[in-house]
Parts: sequence; C-alpha cells; structure tokens
Amino acid sequence: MKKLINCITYLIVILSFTITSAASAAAATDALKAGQILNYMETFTPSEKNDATLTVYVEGISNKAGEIYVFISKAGMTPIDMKVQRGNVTASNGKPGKIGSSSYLIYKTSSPEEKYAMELTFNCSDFYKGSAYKPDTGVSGQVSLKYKIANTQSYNIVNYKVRIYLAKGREYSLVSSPKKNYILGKDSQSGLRYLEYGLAGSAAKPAFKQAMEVSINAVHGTPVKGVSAVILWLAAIGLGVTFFILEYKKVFKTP
Amino acid sequence: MTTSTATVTTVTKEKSVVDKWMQVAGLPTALIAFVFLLTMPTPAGLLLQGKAAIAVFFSIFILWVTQSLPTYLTSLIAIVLLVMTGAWSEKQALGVFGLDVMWVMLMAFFITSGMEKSGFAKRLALWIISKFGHTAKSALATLAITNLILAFLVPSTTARATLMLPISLLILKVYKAVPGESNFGRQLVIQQLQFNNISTTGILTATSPQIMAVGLIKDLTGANVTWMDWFAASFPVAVLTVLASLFIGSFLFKSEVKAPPLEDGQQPSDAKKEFRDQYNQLGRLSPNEIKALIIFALTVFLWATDGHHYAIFGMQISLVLVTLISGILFFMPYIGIAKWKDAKVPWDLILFSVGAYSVGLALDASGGASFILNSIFGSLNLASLGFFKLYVIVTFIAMFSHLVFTSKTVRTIILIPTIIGIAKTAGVNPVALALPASFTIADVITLPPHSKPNLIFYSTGYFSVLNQFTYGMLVLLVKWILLVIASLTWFKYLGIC
Repeated sequence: MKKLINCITYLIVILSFTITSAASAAAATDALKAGQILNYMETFTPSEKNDATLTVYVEGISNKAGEIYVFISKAGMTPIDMKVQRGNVTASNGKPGKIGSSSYLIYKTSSPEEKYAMELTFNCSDFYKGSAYKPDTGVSGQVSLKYKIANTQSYNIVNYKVRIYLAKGREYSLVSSPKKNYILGKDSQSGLRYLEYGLAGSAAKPAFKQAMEVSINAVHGTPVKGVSAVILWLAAIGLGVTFFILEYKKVFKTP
Repeated sequence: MTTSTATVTTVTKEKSVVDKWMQVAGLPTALIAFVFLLTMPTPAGLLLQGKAAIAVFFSIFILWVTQSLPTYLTSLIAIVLLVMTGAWSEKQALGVFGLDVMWVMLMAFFITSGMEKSGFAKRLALWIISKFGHTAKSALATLAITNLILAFLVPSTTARATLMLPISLLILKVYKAVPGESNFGRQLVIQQLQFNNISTTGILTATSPQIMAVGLIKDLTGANVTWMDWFAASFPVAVLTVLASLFIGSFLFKSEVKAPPLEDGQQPSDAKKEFRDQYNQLGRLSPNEIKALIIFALTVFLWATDGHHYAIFGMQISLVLVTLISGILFFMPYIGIAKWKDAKVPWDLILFSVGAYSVGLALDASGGASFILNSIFGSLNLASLGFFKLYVIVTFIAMFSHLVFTSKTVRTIILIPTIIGIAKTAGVNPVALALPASFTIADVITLPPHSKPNLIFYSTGYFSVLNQFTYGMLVLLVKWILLVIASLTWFKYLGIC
C-alpha cells in the first residue's frame, strides 16, 4: 500500500512538472502581443566582391492587419529568397512601406494576429566595403566595418541577434562597439570568422526595446602569415643568435 | 637610479651562473616567443589585437624576468611593439604617462625627498627602530603590523604605499642596505607591497573591486555579504598570509644584517641603546621637521577622510590631487623644505612603469586577458567536479589569474559571474565559491604593473622582477593552501562553505 502511494506521488510530481514545462514553453509565444516579434536574427555572409548575403529569421505574431514589418537595415537590400517555416505568409518580395520616417518591407499573413516563422534572404551590396582603417602607426590593410540597426517598430522585440561573417582569411582585429557581451567565433565547416551580438529577453521583458539601437563598430584585417611571417622569423632568429653570441662572450668570456 | 641610500658604498655582487645564462638567453627566447605567438593561427574567440597583446606581454615578461635587457629599455620596446603590432593605439600607449598612477609615483618621490630633507623621516625611522626595530626581524614585523593597522585608517592602497615609502627607505638607510644588493632591502621593500595588498584583502572597503564583487554576488545569487562577514572570513587568512610572508622572506632572502650596523664598531647588542641615543641626540623638532610633520599629517588626513571630502570641504579631492598638493607644499618657497635639486626621482624606473602598465592595460583592453582566463575555465570541465575539487581549482585560478590582468576591476567583472555560473551548473552553493574567490582579488603581488603600490615600491630599485615574482608566487601558494584549509574549517564554521 505504502509503495502504491509513493508511486502515485511520484507520478503526480512528474506529471505536474511536464505540464508546467509545456505550459511555460507555450506561454513564451502566447504572451506575445499582436504584431510582436519573438526572434529576429540577422546573419551577414560574404558573397561576391564586397557584397553580403543577409539572412533574416523572423518569428512572431503578425499585427491586427496581418502585417509583418522587416527592417531595411542596410541601404541597397535586394530580396532574393523567402522560406516560410510557420504560418501562411504571402507577398514573397515584401512591399516597401513606411511608418513615420522608418522604412520597412511589409509582408502579410493570411489572417490577422497569426503566428509565423520565416527566413528571408537579401543581397546587401558593398556591405563589406567599409573604409580603410589607418592608425597613426601600426598594421596596414585593415578595414572598418560599421553596422547599425535601430528598433523603430511600434513594439519591442523579445530576442535579437546579429552575426557578421568575414571573408576567408580575414579576422576581427578590434571591436569598439559593442563594448562587451559579443562573441567571436569560427565556423567549423567554412572556416569563416564571425562576430555575434545578441539581446535576449522574455515576452514580459523584451530585450530589444523600442527606440533602442544596436551598433557594431569593428575593424578587420589579416593575420601575420606567408612572406611577412617568414621575414619575421628570419629577423628574430638572426637577431637572437647575434645577441646570444655577443652576450655569451661578454658574460662568460670577459675576465 | 637615485634613492635615499645612494650615498652608501656599493658592493658589487657576482652574478650566479643561472643569472648569467638568463641574461644570455633572455632576448633570443623572448624574440622566439614573440614571433611564435604573433604568427600562430588566431584561436576562435580572440581578436588579432588580443593575440598581438598576448605576444608582447609574454615576450616582455621573459625580458623582465631574465633581465637580458635593462628594464626601462624593455618597457620602451614594449610600447613600440604594442603600437606596431596593432595591440594598442599610439595615443593609448603614450597616454599611460599621463595616468594618475604615474603622477602618484612621481609625487611619492617628491614627498619622500621633502621628508628626507627635513630630517623628520630620519627621526621617525630612528624612533621606530629604537622602539621596535632594533633587530632586522623586529623592524620587518613592526612594518607588517603598521600596514595591517593602516589598512583600517587609510582606504587606499596607493596612499598607504606613498605613506610607507619614505619610512621604509629611511629604515633601509639606517640599516645601510644598498639597492639591488641588500637581501634585507629586498625583503623589506617587497614585503611592503605584499603587506599593503594582502591587508587589503582582509577589509571589504579597502579597495573598490572587492565592493563590486560583493555587489555581483548579491545581484547574481541574492546573497548579502556584510562588511563584518567579509572581515570575519578574510582578515584571519590575511593575517596568516602576512606571517607566512615574513617567514618565506627570511628564508628566501637571508638577511645580511641582524641589527643596524653601527659606525664605531659596537656590538649589535648595543644597537638598541645606540639608536635610542641617536634619537635622543636629535633633540627637539626643528622648524623644518615641524613643517614636514604638518604637511605629512595633512596628507594623511586628506587620504583618510577620502569618503567625507564633500561633507568637509564641499568638494572631492582625489587621491592623486592630494599627493600633488603634498608635493607642492614640500617644494613651495617659505612653506616647504625642499628645492628641485633635492628631488630624487628614479626616472629609469618610472619609464619602466609606463611600459609595464601599457602592456598590462593593452592585455586587458584587447580581450587577451579574459581570453586566457576563459580558455582555462573552458578547458577544465569544472561543472562535473564535486565541491571540494571545484573549490580548490576555482580559488587557484582566481588567485593566479591576476598574472594576466592589470585591472582588478576588469578581473572582478569577468571572474565573479563566471564562477557563479560554474557553481550553478555544478549544483553547488555559488557564494561558497564566489566569496573565497573574491578574497583573492587584491592578491596582486607577483609583478610590478599589477598594482600601484607594486610600481611605487619597485621604483626604489631594491628588488628585481624575478625577486618579486618568486617571492610573490610562494606567498600566494601559501595563501591558496590557507584558503583550502579554511574551506574545511573556518569557512565551514562561518557557514560560507
């Protein structure tokens, strides 16, 4: 009898945990207001010349008019592709529109306040062009990279993330903005280096608030390798050996 | 360099074979380390700037330790390398000369020169020696106690170092200790910076990064650590570490003097009487001594009341401004005592400090230091360990992480949340790990650029980087063992572990 009571108690505990977890997972999206975005993720990958392919993943609930606003975060963004992962989203190229002075690409869901998830692909011309970074003294061949996105939507975004890959062989040299909480990484398959910055919140406390902006201000360059590295090694060995011989004579052989 | 002991006859010391080999092999090793680190593939998670800063730091560290090149030259090379490799900008690197720490160092020597010229420092030193320091051991113990007491009165490590500098130098002068030659000098001066930093770890409010650590613990765990909680847990460990430092110092640098050498061949047993007589012969305070006493007392008062300046004067006078005011008063016609020719400033060591500080700051700013720390934490899979093993490793890393960080603040910001995160993942009490780790924040005693007191005392020329490094590492190892023992005893009793 005692065993049976124990078994029932365990079962109740496990069941209540399962229900609570499922409920809280559902609550994350259910708590979103109409028109709110749960996840907004941007990934810039080098394509031809200085262009970048921008992949935007947007997930949320369309507004009362069934509209989804996607930022035109960089001038010269051209839609290439759209993959709908959830919901019924129409207008594959997005319709340019404005709210106040802010420009958007407007997509539509078939019904108002509909849950959606989609991945959009754009071409961003000259994204990596930047400007030459020339310190007073120091390493040459460095390029400044600037990217800014401001949340001019009429609502807050729960989670935001941006990842900027660099072309093969290039690496981030310094990051002046954001000051902290950014991640530097290397894609294991492509070998491309990236910088990632994200703002994570909850439906009750969205992280990317209205009128807030995210600014990436970095410099990228190439590491010392090839001929430069060989010259450096030869100079170091030459200098080192010369010093060693001279100093050895001075220290050990001078009476 | 010029110090108060410059007039003492110098005895040339023969270098050991190890020292000679280090001198010969130092530069070649540093060059190879530099090129290897600079040309290696950049690890994911590290900026090119950070990689360059790490390359400069390790190569310069080799040069400091081996003394293959003079330290001031090494520092100048460091500044050039930092800029040329892109580790730091020219403006930032050269700007270190204008940082408050450099001004405090400069003014510390102005104050010392003024105190010495007035004769008041000699009186103070003779008084300490005749009362408590008539043997070398008792002089060291007296200075240890003075440092522990001062930690309660003057809430700034730099101010306390500036205060102890003239007294230490005058005691060394009485003991005829020659900079770079005397083991007693090495012991005494390195101990000043050790006692200064270690006594700080015992008192929560003695340095702001400790307050910040407690704030982080509260924000991230909800636990409230009071001044008394900190004091009860950390002060006994600090006192035991100071005692250990006294013991290790006497073992590592066997003192060449047991008592102050006397002029007329008297036996050391007469020393106490002799120095009491010398002190009595000084007679009443001279007008210059009174001036020095007033200026010195004013300086100490301004340092000690740092947190109450607004209430007293209606304005805040920063620590560096207090030292500047003090320096001005010592050299001011009619008010002060000294003239420009009396200012004994060791410029070679100040140049060393600029370079050393630049390297440290560049390592912090470029993310190089945090990368090294995170790599260590990441490679150990700490979350899978039990509490005791985790505690042992975490306190060890916390203790020695200062080797790559110059800023205590940056170290605190990176270290404490990381440790709390690891503790939560491992399912252990985060405070039991984060609080003892916080007790190590001010344990920055191994290299000159790690704290302002280190730079101030290094500038006396009494010890080498290798001397400080060896002595500091041994003392910290003992403190780490003490923290481990405390986790099984004292901290358990207090309810921390």
